[in-house]
Amino acid sequence: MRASCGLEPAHVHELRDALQETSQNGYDFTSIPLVHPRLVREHVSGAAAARPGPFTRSDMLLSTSDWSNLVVVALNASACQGCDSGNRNVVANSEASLQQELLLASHLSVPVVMARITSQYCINLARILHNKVVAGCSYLVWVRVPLVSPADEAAYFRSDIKAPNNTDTWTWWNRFHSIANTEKKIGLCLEIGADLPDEEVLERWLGEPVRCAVLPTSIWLTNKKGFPVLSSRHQLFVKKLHKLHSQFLITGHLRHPHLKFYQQYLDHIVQSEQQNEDAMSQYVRGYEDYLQCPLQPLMDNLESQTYEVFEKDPIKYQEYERAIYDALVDLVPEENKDERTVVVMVVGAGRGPLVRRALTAASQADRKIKLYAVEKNPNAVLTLHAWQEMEWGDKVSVVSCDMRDWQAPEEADILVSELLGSFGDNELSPECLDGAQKFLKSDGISIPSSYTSYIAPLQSPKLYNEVRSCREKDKHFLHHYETPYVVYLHNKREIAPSQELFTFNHPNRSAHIDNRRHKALQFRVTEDSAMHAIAGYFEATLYKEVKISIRPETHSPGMFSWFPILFPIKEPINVHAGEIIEIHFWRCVTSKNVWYEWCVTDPVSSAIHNPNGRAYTIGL
Amino acid sequence: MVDIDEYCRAASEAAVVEKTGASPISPSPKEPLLAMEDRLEFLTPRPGGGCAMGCSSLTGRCWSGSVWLYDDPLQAPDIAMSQASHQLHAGVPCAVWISRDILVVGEDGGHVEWLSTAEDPSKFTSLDSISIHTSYVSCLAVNSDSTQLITAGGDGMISVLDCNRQSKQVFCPAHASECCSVAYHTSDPRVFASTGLDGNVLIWDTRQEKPASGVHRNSSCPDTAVLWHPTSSGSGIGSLLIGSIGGSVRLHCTESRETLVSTEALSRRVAKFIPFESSSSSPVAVVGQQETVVVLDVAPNNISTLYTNSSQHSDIVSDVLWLSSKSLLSCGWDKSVRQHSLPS
Repeated sequence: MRASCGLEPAHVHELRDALQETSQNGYDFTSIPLVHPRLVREHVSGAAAARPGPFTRSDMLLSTSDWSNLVVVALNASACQGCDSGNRNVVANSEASLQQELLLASHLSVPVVMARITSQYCINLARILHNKVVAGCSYLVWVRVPLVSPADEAAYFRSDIKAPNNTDTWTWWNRFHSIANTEKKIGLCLEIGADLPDEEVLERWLGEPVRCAVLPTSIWLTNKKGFPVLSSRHQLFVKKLHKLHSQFLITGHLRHPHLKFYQQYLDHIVQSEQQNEDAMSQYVRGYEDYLQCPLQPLMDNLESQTYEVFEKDPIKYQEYERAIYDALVDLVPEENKDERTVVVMVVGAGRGPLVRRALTAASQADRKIKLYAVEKNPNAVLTLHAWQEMEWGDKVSVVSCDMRDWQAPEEADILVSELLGSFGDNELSPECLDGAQKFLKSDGISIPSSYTSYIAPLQSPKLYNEVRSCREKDKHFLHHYETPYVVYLHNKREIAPSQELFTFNHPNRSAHIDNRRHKALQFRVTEDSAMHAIAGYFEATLYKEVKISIRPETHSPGMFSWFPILFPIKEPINVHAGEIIEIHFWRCVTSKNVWYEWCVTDPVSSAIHNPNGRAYTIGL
Repeated sequence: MVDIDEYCRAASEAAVVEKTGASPISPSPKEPLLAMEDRLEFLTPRPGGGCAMGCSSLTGRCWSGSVWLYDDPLQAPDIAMSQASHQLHAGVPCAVWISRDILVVGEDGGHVEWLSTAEDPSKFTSLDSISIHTSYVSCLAVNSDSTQLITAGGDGMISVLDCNRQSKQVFCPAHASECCSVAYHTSDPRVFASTGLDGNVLIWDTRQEKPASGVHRNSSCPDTAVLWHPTSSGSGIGSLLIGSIGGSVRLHCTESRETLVSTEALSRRVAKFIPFESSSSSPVAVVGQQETVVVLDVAPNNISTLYTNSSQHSDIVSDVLWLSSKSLLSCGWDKSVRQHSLPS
């Protein structure tokens, strides 16, 4: 994927020439004002209101396809600012000027209009643009926000301002976007300066829908050969922005030998980044922030291609093999290896990947095993029989039965299962294994031996909008906010690190097994943020030191079988540095199904999501 | 449906002159070949007599500009009566003379161009064009000893240039949004004031390491024009005449930071103050984003209106040129230059 890059000339003398220069230099679009930036437009009263003639150039100067493909409209800066002025006439004229430009933008079918904000005073502007979006405009809105407040930069020259005022420009944007109902059509255009803020500040921006990044020529360095280059921190940030599919915009006067070098350099750094991409990034491409409904393998039978995808995971089965190997070696001392045969049962064997791994582990450990492959899906059992016929022979007994109902002919030493979902217990591994452990010896081993779910508050307008767009006509109006989704989290930021939620141990030897849970977790907010959802992960101990994890901090490298799970919240919640976010989670169980309920109780309370499992349950 | 190429060809034929733009063109006054753009932008008095007039095209196919020299300002905007002219590929919001022969012009693309009439009085020769701002140049000012020039831009930046173009000092950004107006102190050649749409009014002393300090701030109703006013004859650096986006004009004491007097001179954004004489307390013309010319008499205890006229122009008045203490010319976006006589 190449870098899409545009050019913003300081002045557009002639429209066609400007577009030609842009494309000749390899750029994809041009940012231009529709109306001359200095044209005073009077809409209220006085002689100037009756000015004859056109207020700007003719649309005929460009073809409609050029207007709709190559042009980003920079809305008049003083009109944008004037909408929130304290002077009535200024507001009236600014609003009318802005309307004039927005109507023309619609008329020309331009793809994007860009509004600049230079302070927190942007409420009326947000209202006006949001109104347009709600009324159904054809263009996207980019809100151009500087990474560093220009007022703070200007303060550098001030003798009367001693301490630097670290204005958080993210709050301007968040305020704008909140007023504009976190609208999907309203995206962010980040203006990047010579000095980049701290890493945490940059990370928070990466949770926002960054559509474009402005790279003024003034922030570019010059290498020995005279070519423009970016500092290493800028490079890194540009690469991250590119992964969010952000476009780029070059502004300012030419400071290097040729205009095309800026675009070429950007393309170069994003292309070289892609060549170094790992298998994981390649695998997830196209799945970024794409919501999927969690699997229900207990209720539904998985399809062959689903099995095939999971079987390709290079890490998961390797770790299972290690776990089985360690368990076999622990169970049978070297001196007893010829006498003792270990009974291994793979419950939920699917198409047999764990059976194969168990056999490999046994041969490597040089231990004798007797294998049972138990599977409820008759279609997968077909595959197991085929394997048995071709390869396994009498080393493996294939059992076509639900593990909870199976009457095992003998007790097992090791019970191996892969019933974990993105949230650990969400595919009902606890209920299944509690049922299966009746044929596990009292000193038998369960692989996995335990698993824990983790949650973290998440900032992501992108994902919030994805969830919002999932509304279905025939369902409860909150249904889509009360359903968890499996999703590769991409355009997001964790507001605080994830914390442990529910843990399940196997075998569960307690007298009264209760898999219901409730827990409240507190997360400390370190920077002003907006919470849009709850991210869920799991960690599992397969056996002793052998673990697998999809928690960001401990993620098993290269393991792609599980994407995280996302629990939506109905309304975004603005949180401030120093505040505590408290989240309550319940795991509810009946004889028929299991579901989660959740709510936020601090800094503000939300209603309970998914009461009685009205939107989402997992069938037993 | 008109073919686009055909339309553009027709349009470019109509605008023959604009295409020739970059190189200076100097026709004899008999040949009115040149087009004059519709929006008259400034009438800048030339030391020793005459003036330069600037005009821009802001709504046509080409956004261009031109500068015209008149030995007799009363002849403006007659193309045939102009002694010299210069065409540019951008509008010309402002200009200042730094000597009788050198005119510095601020352009819409952020360039500042040095034009000279020294070689040939019937011609503007471009000496240099420096790209400074990333947006239009909003204001230019020359200091009291004509050694330094300040440029202010729509990008919020201020730069200080030697008039001989040897050195440049850049304050980027000086204001968080457009820097609307800059004005040099009437006697101290290193001190100037600036206003911006960020609501700040700043005083700058370029000898200091941190040159700027704020004298006033109003972000909801920013000040858009500034002029040093020689009202305080005693100690201190004096007072500022400040015009706001709402049209009010006030005299601001920089020492006490108080408004001494104020008046609602206009009903729209104040763009410029043009004093009859900068060094003494004299009448000050005020123009802004409306069709009105106002002349004020400013004293520490009172601002009185000497003259007001809204009937001569049918569009905004962009500049005023004083002919005498009782007579002035105004130019506007209606492409006209009008004469006004003050009541005696």
